[in-house]
Amino acid sequence: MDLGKALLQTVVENLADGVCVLDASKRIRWVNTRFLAQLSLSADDLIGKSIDQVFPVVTASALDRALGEASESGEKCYSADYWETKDHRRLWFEMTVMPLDGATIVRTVDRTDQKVALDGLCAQEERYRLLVDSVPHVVCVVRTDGTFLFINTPAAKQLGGKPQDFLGKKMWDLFPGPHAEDQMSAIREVVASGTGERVVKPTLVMGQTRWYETRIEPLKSSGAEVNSALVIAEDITEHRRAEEEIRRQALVFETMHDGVILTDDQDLVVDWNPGAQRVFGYTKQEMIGRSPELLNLPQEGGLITTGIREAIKLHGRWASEVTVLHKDGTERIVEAVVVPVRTQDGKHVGNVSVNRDVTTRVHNEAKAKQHEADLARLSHYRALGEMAAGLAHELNQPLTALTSYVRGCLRRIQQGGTAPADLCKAMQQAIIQAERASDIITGVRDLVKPDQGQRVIARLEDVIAQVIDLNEIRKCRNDAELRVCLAGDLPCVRINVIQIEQVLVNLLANAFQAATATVGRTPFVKVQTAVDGDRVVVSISDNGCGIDMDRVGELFQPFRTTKTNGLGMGLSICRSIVEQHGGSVSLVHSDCRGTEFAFDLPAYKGIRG
Amino acid sequence: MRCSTSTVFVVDDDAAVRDSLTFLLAAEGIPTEVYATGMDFLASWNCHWPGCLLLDVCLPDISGIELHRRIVQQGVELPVIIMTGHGDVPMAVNAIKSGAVDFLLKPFKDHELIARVTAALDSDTRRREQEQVARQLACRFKLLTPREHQVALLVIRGQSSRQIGERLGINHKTVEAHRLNIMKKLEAGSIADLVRMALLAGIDGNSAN
Repeated sequence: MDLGKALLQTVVENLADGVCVLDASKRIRWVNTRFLAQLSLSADDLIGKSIDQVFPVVTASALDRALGEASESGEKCYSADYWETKDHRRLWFEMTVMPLDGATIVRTVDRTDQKVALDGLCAQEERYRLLVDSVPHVVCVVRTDGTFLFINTPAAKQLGGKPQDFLGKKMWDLFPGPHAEDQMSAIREVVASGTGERVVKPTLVMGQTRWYETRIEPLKSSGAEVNSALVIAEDITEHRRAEEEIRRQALVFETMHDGVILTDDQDLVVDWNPGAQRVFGYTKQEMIGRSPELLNLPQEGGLITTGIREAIKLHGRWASEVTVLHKDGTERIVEAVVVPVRTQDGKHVGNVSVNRDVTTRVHNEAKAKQHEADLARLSHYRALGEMAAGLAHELNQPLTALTSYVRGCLRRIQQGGTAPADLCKAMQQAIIQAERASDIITGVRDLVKPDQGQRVIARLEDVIAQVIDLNEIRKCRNDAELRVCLAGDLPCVRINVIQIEQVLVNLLANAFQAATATVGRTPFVKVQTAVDGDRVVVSISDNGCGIDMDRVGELFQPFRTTKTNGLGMGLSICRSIVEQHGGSVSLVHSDCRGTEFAFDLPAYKGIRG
Repeated sequence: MRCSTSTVFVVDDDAAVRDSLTFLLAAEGIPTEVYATGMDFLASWNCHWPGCLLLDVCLPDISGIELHRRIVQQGVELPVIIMTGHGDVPMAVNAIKSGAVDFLLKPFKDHELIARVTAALDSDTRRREQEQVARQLACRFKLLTPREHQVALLVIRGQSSRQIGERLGINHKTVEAHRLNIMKKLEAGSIADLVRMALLAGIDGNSAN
């Protein structure tokens, strides 16, 4: 062996790369130690063998392909592929195939470690991509010139597309001018300063304002130059909305005038607003963890708690007016509503109770009711007083006549000589007067009798029709014309029909009397109905000669009459009936051409006749 | 209608009251005339009719008190009895203040009514008689000459003939002659008689000057 060859062999033996020499028939002629080491083989396994014998099919065919390419081109050929060892390990070899005088030198560099590292890196990158796609956040990389270098799926989705639709697009393509400019200036600032930034602001996306919490981080590209930024934005619109809602609710809770108490499933207080402090006197600190039962009257507490539990189970709600004990020891009347708090899956976790202090209102109502009753009694007494005076006078008339007849008879009998027939006549007169007195008493009894009988919902048209068909009115209609003008779709009224009929008969009889008493005109009486707001008005007019103005004032008082045979009870009874129905009766006008009386009744709500 | 006998004029708007009162008073032989309203009464009444007025306090047109006032305005002192119920006591008080003679609370006892009515009729009769006497005496006083009239007034005032003579500037004997004529013309028996006649005739000695 000459020195040159020996020297070369030494060099080749000590190369870090594996070297293998193949002859033209692709048999292995020579290998260096490194090559053997790479493949964990001995020289005997290889020398003189063809590659097909030595290597698995995959490796052999790869090598074969490279050899073919190299011999064809006559040049060096690089290839990177894996070789599979006999024990099926995969080795990533970077090989250089060099044709040389009918032989081929194959130089191999073991890149397995590098390949594993690279593969790991790829896998990691894939994992990152997946991660970035799976977070709900918007993640993108934007260059300072506004170009999107990366955009994750959620971001693309929010923009209405797929990531590939937006890569390479500019900020201005996706957002309205001012918004794009705004975002770019933030990105540029971060890139320039090299420090990240956190921004919360609204952005117009697809025509909708959404709120984002955005982190912008400077991103180093290959090389030290920073020219892009990583933008991670969290859509906090819903969150923000919920937060605002909570804030609003908290504000309502805090400022509500009503006392609001939250209890847990053990009926212990977990929250207590200032309103509750106002209503019950206890502070939140005093009440947290305690049972609201202590607010109830001692004898009621347990009952109420049970009642609430039952009612919530049955109706999902409990509401009542209860008497409670204020911290200062006074009793308060509270209007309370308790509703359950449930989790999404329907589990009952506590109650909310809203309490309104209605003590003043209840007391005021009681006071008003008392006052009303007092007034009613007072006016009743006054009416009674007026009536008693009228009654005395009115009764005196028949009683005076009665006693005069009887005394006159007595005197004649005592004197003797009077014909019995004359006495009889006087006695009959006396009886008539006694009956008259009794009629007055009956009239008074009717007047002071409380409103009895059923009130029904009736149509006034029907009542009027019935009244004008009564014998009493029919007789009158022979003497004077009756004109009836009824308004269309008159609301119904809730009345005691008999009593309202009585009012109508009375007013009609009066009107007929007035009309027929006046000579020189064709007498008529007119009945009219009308609607005035929520009231139904009935007016009855005649063309008589009117009422003396001096007497108008006492028109509705009992026992005042212009008629020689009247008791003066009619209008007074009318008034008392109509007022009992919540209406009023009045003299609309009266002059020498006629008189009009009218009364109104409240329309029955909601129903049209 | 001519009423020469004392009559009770009943004014009441209640026909039964009017009729029954007529019946009762007739038992005592007291005649009545009835009216439904005050105006009815005023329209037909003649102030020379003797009697009394029995009024209800509540009348449909003019009140009993107003009616009384109008009668008084005519210079007639017709006795008035106002009938009133319990309720109108204040009205009755007003009636008495306005000079009505009497009032009756309805319903009244028959003897009470008859007593009051009789009293009223009596007082009316008495008054009418007095008026009669006064009228007759006034006629007699008219027989006196102016000088005699002068002397008579001074006599009534209780002056002596001498004083009268000095006062009138005539002889006291002439005064005596006048006095004799006066007593004769007036048919007076004494000075006391003369004074009484002058009072009845409504002649007041103090108004002589």
